[in-house]
Amino acid sequence: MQLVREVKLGLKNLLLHGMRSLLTMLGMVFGVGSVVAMLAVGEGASKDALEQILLLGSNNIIITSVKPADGGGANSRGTTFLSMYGLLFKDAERLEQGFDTITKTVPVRIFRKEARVGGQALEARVVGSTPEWFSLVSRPLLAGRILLAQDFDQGRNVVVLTETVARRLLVGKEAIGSWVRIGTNVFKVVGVVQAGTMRDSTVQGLDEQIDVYMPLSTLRQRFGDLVVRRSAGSRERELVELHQILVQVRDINEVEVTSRAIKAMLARFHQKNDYHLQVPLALLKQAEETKHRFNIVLGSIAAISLLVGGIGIMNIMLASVTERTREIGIRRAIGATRKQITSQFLIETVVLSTSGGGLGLVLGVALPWLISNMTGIPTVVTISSLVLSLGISMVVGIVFGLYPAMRAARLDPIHALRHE
Amino acid sequence: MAPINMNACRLEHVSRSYRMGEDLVHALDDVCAEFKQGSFWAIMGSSGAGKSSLLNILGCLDRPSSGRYFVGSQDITALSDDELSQLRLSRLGFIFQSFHLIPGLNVQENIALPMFYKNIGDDLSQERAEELADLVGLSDRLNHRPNELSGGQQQRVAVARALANDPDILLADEPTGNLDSNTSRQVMELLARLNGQGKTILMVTHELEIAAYAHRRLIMADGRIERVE
Repeated sequence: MQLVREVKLGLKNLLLHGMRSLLTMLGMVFGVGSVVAMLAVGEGASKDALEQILLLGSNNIIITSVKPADGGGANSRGTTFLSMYGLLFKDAERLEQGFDTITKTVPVRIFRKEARVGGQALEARVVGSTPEWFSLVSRPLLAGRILLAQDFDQGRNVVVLTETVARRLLVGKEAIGSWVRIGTNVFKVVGVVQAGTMRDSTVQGLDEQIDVYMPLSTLRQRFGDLVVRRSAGSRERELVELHQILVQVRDINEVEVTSRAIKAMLARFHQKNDYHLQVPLALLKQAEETKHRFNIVLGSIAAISLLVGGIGIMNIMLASVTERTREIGIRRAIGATRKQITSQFLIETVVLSTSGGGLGLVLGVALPWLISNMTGIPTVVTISSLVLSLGISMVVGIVFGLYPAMRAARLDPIHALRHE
Repeated sequence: MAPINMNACRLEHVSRSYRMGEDLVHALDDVCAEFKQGSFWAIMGSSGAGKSSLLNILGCLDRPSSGRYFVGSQDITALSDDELSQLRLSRLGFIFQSFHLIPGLNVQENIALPMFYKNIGDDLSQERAEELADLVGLSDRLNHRPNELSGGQQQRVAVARALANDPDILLADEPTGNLDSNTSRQVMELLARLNGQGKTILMVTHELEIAAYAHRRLIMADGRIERVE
């Protein structure tokens, strides 16, 4: 009851000196505003990263073939080299059979080849895999169907295109049922899918935009296991059985153990370090760690800006106490206790800092919105950041209001009354 | 009701000295006085005679260096700062030479201020403030700010404020010092009327015409009571 009246009185006193109060608040406004805005940008960035990682599946482990440093122990045959490295069909088998914690193992072969329809041509990324691939990697279906078990078993000449490939090759044509030439073979288009997110991702790259998916069995029959790459005068031949193995782990808590076990297994069978393990969950943890550090940096900046804002407020409140010395004397003569004077000035300061914080929130919400609209950088204003900022601005008011308020209360009423 | 002859307040061998640089200044020197309930005193004397020091002690804004001061039967020498505040709030009312209204508050809020500190509810204190404004003839000025009022009006608001918690004693420090003779008369008539209703009034003044409103006179010189009339 008393508090409500004192808050009202505080508000009134602030409105009495509107311009001065506003100027005093500015420190808090910009302090809180920048904190909320920075948190929003940080939150947006980390949410973006987390989404990208989650797209890979937090239960998944991705094993990728990597060309070892010595070029894969190439056998010299004149000007052509044959490099042999990477994951083997045997590895996929071992993974499938040797681990209780693994529920799905999906072998993948990837190479680049020209895809052509009539006059339209495109250097596509041909991805050969089992139908289960589509259950591990998110590819929303836009038209037709995805690859089925029968396609795989019978080695059918069918492909699923990404939206980008379909649009470029089949301009103005009905995609489903069209024929696409890849290398020397033709394939029937059975489906069109959306390829991940449009934003570039550090994990998968833009390549996925130009994917052509076909059953792994078909791919091996039609193209074999040998990849020939022409480079500056020489031909380089690579023998890579599998470019990627996607593994799905039964439980998220088993991901770490499983990834260690896979590493141990691969290390036993591979003399060369020709593979690389990607664990989205580990990336996720790393991203969270990064976010945590970012928040510490932000917190320090916030603390400094709020300190500056608080000092500004204290400065004005000290001036206000001096200016209102006589008023304090009058209030004391009438019968106000020291505690009542302290609380009056303290509440006034808290009202001031919290109003500043409130205006800062408006700024802190408006700024990220502007940033998002103008640059496309994603931002997320969280409720907790708003509550936290408002709470902190109240605390700033208490901390920096205490000294001026106590000084006001300590004034001797007789001297204060005589003060001009 | 208290017996007629009871003291509103009483000074027993009160001295007050200040240290000013190296010198010890004796503002009050062994003052003894009794102020009966319902009396109207004018405290007079040349400047530096100790009038203000006396009023500060009477108003519980200051404590004696030695001696004892009673408000009613209460010895204030032993009271804490909070208890003194409480005493000022409930039993004393101040009227100052330069009115000392709070500039940011309107008439009604100024009058209600002592009730705010006594934690009296908004409705009740508003009602009482209106009554008091009516008593001092300013019920049509409730929403005015002090700087929109004449000196006489401001002083009447100050009187109304002093009455807010219905105190026993009104302390007036040159209440007409900043007023012209016409408005001075209005304010003094108001005080005389309040005295008639039983308020004890202790008034510092150096004007004889103003002192004439009081029933008793206490003349000070050099920190001592020179004579009582």
